[in-house]
Amino acid sequence: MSQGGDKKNEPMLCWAGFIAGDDSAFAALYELLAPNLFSFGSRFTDDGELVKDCVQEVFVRLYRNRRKLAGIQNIRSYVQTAFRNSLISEFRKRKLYRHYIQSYLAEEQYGSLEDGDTDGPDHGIGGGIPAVFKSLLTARQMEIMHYRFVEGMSIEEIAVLLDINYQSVANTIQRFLKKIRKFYLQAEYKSNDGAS
Amino acid sequence: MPNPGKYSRYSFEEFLQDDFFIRSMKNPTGESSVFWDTFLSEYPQRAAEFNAARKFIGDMAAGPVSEAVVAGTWTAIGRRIGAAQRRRIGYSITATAAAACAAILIFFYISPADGPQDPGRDRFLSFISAGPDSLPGGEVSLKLSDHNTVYLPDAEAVITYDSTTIEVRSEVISKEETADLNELVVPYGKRSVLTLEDGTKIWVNAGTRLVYTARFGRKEREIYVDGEIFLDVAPDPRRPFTVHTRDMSARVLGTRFNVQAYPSDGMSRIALQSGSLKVTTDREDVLLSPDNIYENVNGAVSVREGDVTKYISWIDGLYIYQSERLDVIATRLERYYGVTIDIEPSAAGLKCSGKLDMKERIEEVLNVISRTAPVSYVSDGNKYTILTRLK
Repeated sequence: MSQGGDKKNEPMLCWAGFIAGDDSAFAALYELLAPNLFSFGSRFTDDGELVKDCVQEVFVRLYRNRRKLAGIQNIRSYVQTAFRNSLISEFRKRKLYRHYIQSYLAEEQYGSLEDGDTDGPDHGIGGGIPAVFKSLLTARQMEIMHYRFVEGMSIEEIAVLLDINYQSVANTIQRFLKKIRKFYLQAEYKSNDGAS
Repeated sequence: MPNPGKYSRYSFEEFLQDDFFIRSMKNPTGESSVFWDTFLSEYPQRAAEFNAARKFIGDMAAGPVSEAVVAGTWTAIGRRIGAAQRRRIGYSITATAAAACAAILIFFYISPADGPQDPGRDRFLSFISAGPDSLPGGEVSLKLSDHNTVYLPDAEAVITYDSTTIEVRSEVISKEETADLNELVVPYGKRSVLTLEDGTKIWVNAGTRLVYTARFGRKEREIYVDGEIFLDVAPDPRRPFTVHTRDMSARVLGTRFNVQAYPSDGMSRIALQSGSLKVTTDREDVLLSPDNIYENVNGAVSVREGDVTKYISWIDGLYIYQSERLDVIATRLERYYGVTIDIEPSAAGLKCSGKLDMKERIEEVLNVISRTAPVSYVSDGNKYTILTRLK
């Protein structure tokens, strides 16, 4: 991989340091990964306490099970997956089968990423995403966009993380971009006209 | 870096499906900014699609995460794992040792061939005007500013920085009197122990030039070395510690390791005792685990696992070597004692193993060598010549 260096490697560096007995590296790992988890969580629920609990749970377990986890190849995606699972199980536990979360769990069961269902309900997502996207994306699709455009993950990494095939991820992204193209280009040409 | 022509017909959707585009928008570098500026001036008709795609990435970015929430959650985690630590203390040491053995994680990856120069290193390189080996004999010198250089006659000079002052031979100097970069030069035959303001302790071997900032920045701790040092880095997750040499940089969080980078040796080596660290050269990055020995011989990099003690023993005045060429050992003794050692070509390639106590006089050390290898030596003032012993 020819990723730009530092940033991609940093969590692994911290993890290796922590495994080798350096507790300060664990704090560094938290600082690197936690902010993204909070922003990810806020896309799926407005309950800040729930997100905090899940982040806490993931890092406490990581700390306690480090011996078993020493061989992890990619700590970033391990933490992301653990956090995601923790969120879903909290949703289930608290019976939050409403709004956005409901659609999330439904997709979990059916694994659906089919064409068509674009006129979904307003799911009430948190996080600074333009209102127009909300109506276009299911929770699962939103998750894919988050990984691709917020975390900057490759399609391959997303496919592995969500355990769906590469083509589904690529198609989901392509379809979404096609739908919002008009919205963005209109704004762009309008602002150009204004300038000239 | 792709060719700008590649994007000459790209649409909004195509930009947003291109890894390089996404990466440049999310983590722009000097180079990627220049690339896209060039692209837009060559293909101005792409500007609308490009700007729309850029705006989309901006819109997708998550809202700010509250620092207080992140910090508060960390405190809660700390309370829980702190309790866990106390309960488990009985076997935590063995657990850590086992984990250290299991974690031989070495990642090689090739950086872009036209990768950026290291700005941190360049800053130090431009500061060092004198040639690498033009180390004056005589006393240890500590250059605090252009007008203020302190000379230390001690064989083992001790220098301590704290937040506002510098203590040298029980003399206290205010940091106000120092320039941004300080330089410690330890000539052949001398050594020094330097404590920096963050608590990091550095043992400086003979024939070494060390450059560092009198005050570390808020985000980075950086030093530069020609020669050999052993470091015990004070942990600080918010400020990584970087050691630059002429041809590489080692980035750490808190760890103990030895850096050997005498320009005249034509090779550099890092031996990691504990913690973790990342070595960066113009070609690649390598992540090291404890007991890894990293060697860079004219750009050819290797990493092996081995006994790092022998590379670190010099801080206790011991020199441990295993099947080392006699001329390599002689070079080391030359530096350590500040003497000249010539060696007969027929003896230069002899391989020796052993342990030398360098707190002894040079003659005693050479006697030990002549007892274990088929050599003898003659001396003439500060000059020694090692000869093959006749049978």
